[in-house]
Amino acid sequence: MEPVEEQRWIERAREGEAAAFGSIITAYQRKVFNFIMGMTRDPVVADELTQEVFLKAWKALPRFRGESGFQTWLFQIALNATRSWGRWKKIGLARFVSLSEPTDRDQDDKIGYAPPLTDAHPDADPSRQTESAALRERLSRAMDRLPPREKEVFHLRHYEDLSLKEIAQLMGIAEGSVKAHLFHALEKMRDFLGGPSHVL
Amino acid sequence: MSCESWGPLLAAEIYGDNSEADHRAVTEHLAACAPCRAQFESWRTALAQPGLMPASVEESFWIRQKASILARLPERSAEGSRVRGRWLAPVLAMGLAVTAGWGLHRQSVRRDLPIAQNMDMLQNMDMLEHLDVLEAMDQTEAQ
Repeated sequence: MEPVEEQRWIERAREGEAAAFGSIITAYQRKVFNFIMGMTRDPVVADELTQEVFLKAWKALPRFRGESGFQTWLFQIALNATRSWGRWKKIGLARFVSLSEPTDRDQDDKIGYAPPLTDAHPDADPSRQTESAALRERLSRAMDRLPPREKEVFHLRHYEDLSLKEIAQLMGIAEGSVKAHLFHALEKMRDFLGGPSHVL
Repeated sequence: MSCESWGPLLAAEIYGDNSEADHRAVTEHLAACAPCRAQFESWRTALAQPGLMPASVEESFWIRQKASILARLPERSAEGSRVRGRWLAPVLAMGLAVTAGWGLHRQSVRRDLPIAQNMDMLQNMDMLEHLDVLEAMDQTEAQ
């Protein structure tokens, strides 16, 4: 979405036009869902939290002043939602009961989520697809072992392609701290997965 | 500057996020430092693996999710705030009445407190009286 076009959708959504907000959802739902999915590793929770993020954004949109980019603002809501869910989960009071392991196909089917078993290229070699699915699974497990802040920084930078400045802004920390978190995340990921001779 | 302290700059360099000056400094350091170069290369190789590419999700999932969000959007219009305004006054009035009622109730309980304390005192005095009698009896017996 072009910045000018995006600004137009935001203005119209701010005035209460649901169709304009629909265009914003289309533009950002993948990024928001993927981020939350990376943090929670539960498609049911990720789906529900993504919906909550957009509902909160709709309610808060009249107060959005554009001091940060819209994407940064939206990810700030997503980050807060994920952290809040994490806190509830920690004390065993998560509002959304995780009914399955993240790889449980039955549960995934209930929400229509296809687990990431394929690469972005549909005609990719099946054996390569299986290999990359296994690697992705290992990566997910390694990411789960990262401290929360390092996990957030790695995911936002690597998967969501947010700049370090944007990440610093939305997490409310210095850019230098973001770089340090990213460095430690890269180091730990490599250690978790078998040392320097192995791929991440 | 130790190799350890180059870490954050190397991590930023992987994603091309360093400033021009930092980029130049990192490039010079990498040319001179074999351990950092090995570390940097291992990250770069690892990040190019297919497992770190974005995964695909079926289009129907996004369509259903978007429809679900749009169906749950609350009304945001002048009409909506008028409706809210109509309900707000009676709800606030009821809240005030409940608070005031509770306050009065609490006050009456506090007013009862001295009476209860007086009763306790009277009972204690009775006991003291009995104590006096008992003490007097003890003294008589001693004599």
